[in-house]
Amino acid sequence: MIRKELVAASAEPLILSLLAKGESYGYAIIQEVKVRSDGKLNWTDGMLYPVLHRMEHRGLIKSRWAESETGRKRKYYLLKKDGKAAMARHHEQWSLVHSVLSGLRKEQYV
Amino acid sequence: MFDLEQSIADWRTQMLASGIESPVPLEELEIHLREEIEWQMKSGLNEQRAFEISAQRFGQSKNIELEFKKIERTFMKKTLMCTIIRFLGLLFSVWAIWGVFIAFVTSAQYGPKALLLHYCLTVTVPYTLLAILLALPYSKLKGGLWKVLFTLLCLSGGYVCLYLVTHLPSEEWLMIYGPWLLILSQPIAIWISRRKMSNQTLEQMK
Repeated sequence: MIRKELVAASAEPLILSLLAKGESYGYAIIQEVKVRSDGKLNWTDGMLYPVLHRMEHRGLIKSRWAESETGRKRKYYLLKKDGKAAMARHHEQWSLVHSVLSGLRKEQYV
Repeated sequence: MFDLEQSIADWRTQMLASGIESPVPLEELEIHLREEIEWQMKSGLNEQRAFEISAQRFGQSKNIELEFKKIERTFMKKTLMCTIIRFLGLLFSVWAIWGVFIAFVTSAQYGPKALLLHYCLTVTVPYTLLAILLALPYSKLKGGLWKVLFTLLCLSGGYVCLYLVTHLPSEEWLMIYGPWLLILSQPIAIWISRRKMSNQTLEQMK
């Protein structure tokens, strides 16, 4: 199981990256993260919404209410320009951490 | 006999009791819960078990409310800051415009000093307008520490102009170079603030 600190830290970049593919809603975001991580990245469902609302307040994403194809009301989230910039920064930072970690790991096996 | 609608209503009451009062998050949370219950039932569970698992997956209402409260507090802080800056900007604008008017009226009577005062007060207006413009995006809760700093810097720029009028030694020197320096400082102030804003805003918004 992934540590909760890492789960929390990765929430924003993951949400931003998912929304970069197109608008989505809370339930779908959670499902997609679950599928993509083979169920290893398990968010507590209810905790996603404060994160989404905080990102909306910070101007990274915006939302709109719409009806789904089944007629159910849903709140869809969309990426904003500032969100794209934040996503690029996240990618850069996470890539850096990843490359440092990979480098150190390789050195262990040399 | 298990009643799904009643259980959802109870869950909603529990959320309300924990402090999630705003209807928007609560409605959104309930929609999510219903989708999860539906999915669990499609995978073969009965109504009761599907509800129990979904509610459990949702997490403790107190923890969720705590997170929402944190957002609310940040929102309140930023709104207060925005209101104070706008009020200061407005106050300063009114005062500067009044000062320009008085300086014009009295320049013939009191000579170069009054005219200089007029120059300085005139350049305080763009400073103040810039300060207000910088503060405006706060209405949408965007921006950060750098915006606040540069807004205050621009406001204080106006005060510096006024200080120069009364504290520099030679009136003649001020008459020749003072206004030009002040006017030239405007684009520099704007350029610095815009540059800093674009680079730093997102970092500071966190």
